[in-house]
Amino acid sequence: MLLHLLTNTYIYMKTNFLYFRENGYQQYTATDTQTNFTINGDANWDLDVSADTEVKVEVTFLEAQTTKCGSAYSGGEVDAGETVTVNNTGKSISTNDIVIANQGADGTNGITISAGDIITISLIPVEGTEACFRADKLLAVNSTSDTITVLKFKASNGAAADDTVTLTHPDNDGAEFKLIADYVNEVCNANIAERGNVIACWDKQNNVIGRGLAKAGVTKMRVAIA
Amino acid sequence: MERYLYFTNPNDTSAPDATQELAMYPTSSVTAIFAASATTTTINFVPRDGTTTTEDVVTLTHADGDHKNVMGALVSMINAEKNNSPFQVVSDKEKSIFNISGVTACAITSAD
Repeated sequence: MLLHLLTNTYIYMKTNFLYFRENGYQQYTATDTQTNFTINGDANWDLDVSADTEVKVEVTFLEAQTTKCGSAYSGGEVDAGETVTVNNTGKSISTNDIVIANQGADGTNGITISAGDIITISLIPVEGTEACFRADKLLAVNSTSDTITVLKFKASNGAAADDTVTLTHPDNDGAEFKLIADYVNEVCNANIAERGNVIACWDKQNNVIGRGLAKAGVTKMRVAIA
Repeated sequence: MERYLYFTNPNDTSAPDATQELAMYPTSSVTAIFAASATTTTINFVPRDGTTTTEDVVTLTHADGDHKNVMGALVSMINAEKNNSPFQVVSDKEKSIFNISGVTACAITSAD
């Protein structure tokens, strides 16, 4: 849209875009021979991972290693500070834990972790882990339970089902819903047209949580593309 | 007046001239932008074939995990933040022009 002013100056109407990213990044300083790293749970990610192939596991070695690392990684000899990505054979999932195979059990794909090694586990992006929605496609904000509020956007693929952002929060007799609704109103109507960039509403792993969502005590955010 | 996003995606070294090698969409047709894989971001558009269920899709390839930067840059172009031009070239692969830092390829999917 364009407003044609009397001065023949053109002003483009700008659109707010709301950005949401599911939290899926965790870093651990390992203890000696540690194999299991918990990723699922209320204190962890926004979603529960059910397959090890959904995540990328990296090991950054505190010290150089010649006997603790499978041959698939730098020929089995790594330098201090070197980071390797554990391949799919070298990792598995056990309920809520990612498990790194021990090098003794798998001389090719396993890694025996040493104290001080840094383990970084991150969600591999797929459709629904990270999205940017037009504010003018917002259909509604509604509660589906005393602890769940859903933002619905018109489906980006034209499907009957909507694109959704699902927020989990404490139960305080609707007070959270009001805070979230106020926040959504605020960001959809935010006068940032001159900046024109996205409004990051939720990017927890980068410590970005919209003020209203923080006030409402939102603990988790899930995106679903229709 | 409307603003437009321009994309080319030649399938070989010749000039782009075949179906799904060139596309331009009004920015008002953007319905959402989202991560599709570790290295791709998808832009959904209102379908040009008049159906309601088969969206037009442009997929941008970029560095691992760079979705937020790509989305930010796209929105900046949609809102013509930098140059106020109604014609925004996102990807002109034939001329090796990618106006979003880190984007290296573009694919267009359009049903008609």
